[in-house]
Amino acid sequence: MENNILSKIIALDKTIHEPVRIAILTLLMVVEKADFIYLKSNLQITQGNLSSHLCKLETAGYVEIEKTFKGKRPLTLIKVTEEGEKNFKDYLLTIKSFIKQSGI
Amino acid sequence: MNQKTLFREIEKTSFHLHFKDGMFELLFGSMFISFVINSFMDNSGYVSPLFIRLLIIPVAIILALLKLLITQPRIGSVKYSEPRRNKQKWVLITAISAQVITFILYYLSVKGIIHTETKSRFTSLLIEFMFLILVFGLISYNTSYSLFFIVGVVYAFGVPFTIFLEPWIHTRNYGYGFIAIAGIIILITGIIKLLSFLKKYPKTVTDGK
Repeated sequence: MENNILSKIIALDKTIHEPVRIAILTLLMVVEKADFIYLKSNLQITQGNLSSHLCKLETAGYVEIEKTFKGKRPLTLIKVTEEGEKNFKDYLLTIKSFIKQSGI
Repeated sequence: MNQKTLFREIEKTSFHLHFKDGMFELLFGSMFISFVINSFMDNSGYVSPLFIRLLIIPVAIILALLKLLITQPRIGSVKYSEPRRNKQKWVLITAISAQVITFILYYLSVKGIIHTETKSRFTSLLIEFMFLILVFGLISYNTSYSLFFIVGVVYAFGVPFTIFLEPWIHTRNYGYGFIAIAGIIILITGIIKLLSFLKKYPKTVTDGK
């Protein structure tokens, strides 16, 4: 039993297992889509930091980034993909069962 | 805290970002203060100038513009999930219905079709009291933002409740005083919230990625 949960912990998705990326995915899970500024203002992190984490999530296929225009202004819309949603839920469930079994 | 509760809490916190700019406090604070100025002038026998009577309209327009020009560039835009959008629809429906009902009742009483003065004064004031609490309570419940309920309570106790007590206390000034104090407190809260919002959320120059 314990070995099983440890191997699950070792196999945790490394793309998700990073504080900022967990926060990004959590926020994207509760909305349909959000723009870059919305994520930045909610997470209170720098533009560069957010951009690099979004890049990693996009490369993994966990978020979809759509570049569009609102009037003359560029607008970057971000939404979580089905794969991203599934993997993030699996990630949370693994952490949840780990905590549950730790008896804390 | 389970997953659903966690997501609900995060969604609520992120939705509340829209109220952090203090614009609603500025709107309702101004509304209360202009209402009290109008009422005092009317009661003192002066007819308040039209611009004071209609002060709330330019204030609302200015605040809507500020929301568009100051708040949105700082917090960005978002499309909420279906349940939140439904809640927002209900807020809109409640607010519009309340306006329509109030307008119809006002029109009927002006035309003399209903006589609130001659019929049961107690009943009409009680209905008015409940109506204000109910409408603002519903809006507050759907937005999870207590300011709306506070506004309903201030109006309900400031107007119908005070009018009801008038035969015994012989003045409406306590009610208007209550609204004025609440209005000033709400307005000051709005100014403080706006200043801290501007400090905490600077304008993002580019759109990021």
